[in-house]
Amino acid sequence: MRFIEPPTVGAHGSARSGDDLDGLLRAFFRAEMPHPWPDLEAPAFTSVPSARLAFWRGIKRSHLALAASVALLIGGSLLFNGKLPAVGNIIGKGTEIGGITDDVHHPKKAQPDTAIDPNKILKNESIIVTPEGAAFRFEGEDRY
Amino acid sequence: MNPSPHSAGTQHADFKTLYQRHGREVWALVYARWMNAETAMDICQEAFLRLWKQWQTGEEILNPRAWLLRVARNLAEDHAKSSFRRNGTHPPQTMNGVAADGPLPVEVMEREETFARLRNELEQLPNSDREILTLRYCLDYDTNQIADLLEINHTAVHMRLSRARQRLAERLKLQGVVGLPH
Repeated sequence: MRFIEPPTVGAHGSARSGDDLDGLLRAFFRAEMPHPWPDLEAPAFTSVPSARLAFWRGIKRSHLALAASVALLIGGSLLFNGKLPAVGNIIGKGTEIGGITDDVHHPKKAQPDTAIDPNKILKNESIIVTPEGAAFRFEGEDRY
Repeated sequence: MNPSPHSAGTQHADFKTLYQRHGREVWALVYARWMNAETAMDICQEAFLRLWKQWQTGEEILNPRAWLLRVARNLAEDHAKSSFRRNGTHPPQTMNGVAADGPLPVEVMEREETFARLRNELEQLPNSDREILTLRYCLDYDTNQIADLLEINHTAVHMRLSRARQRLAERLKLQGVVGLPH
């Protein structure tokens, strides 16, 4: 009498099927992957793009420095010529700055001392130069 | 790895080394997304060529490997969208790229049929499952390597791999596929 052994199940069976799955997956993916692995040649090296970029980077920095210098120069000249109102506002109206009164900075604000009398003999007159143009100062009055 | 900016020969050598070192894993990730070997190779090479262009502009890339993987993933997504827009379906698949010029031996045909069924089931799995299966069985990556590439921890690798295999095994069992025909 011969007994037919039932097929093994459980751990051994699952391990065998697991091995089969592993083997199947490995064979499948290996077959999919290109073999031999193809080479990839990089395009011919050109130095122009990086040099060009470096050139423009340099240009930008020097331009910025130049622009900053010009801005400083203009700002400084405007400051000392009295074009910047911030200086007068900060310090206060009528305050002398280096001997220059606020009246010169804002000539239109100058108050005429007397009305114009054409028959009046002009005794004293002087010329004051303002940014808007020459201003003639007569005794007691300003005219433009 | 960043190439020497002043030597064309050195730059070419660095590029070649990088390609040999990371080309297969870039290919594997794209293949997992698209399940097409030729498309994966095109996208893989495109990613490397873009890296080359970055080097040409003097751009410094601190982690070329991570950069390549990220670019390849993005290119794979773009490719999927453009292909759908053009064709409306996935492009036709060949049987593992084997062109049948004549009658094939039975064993080869059975193998190709098994692979076709396996491909079909793999395509039904989530992309994350395909990624981890591809890295494990195509490149023979261990847990550490997979964790490093996917930027996940070891526990997550074990869990994902186990679940992916289980899902695939259940689907294949329904199809009657248990392993390679002998």
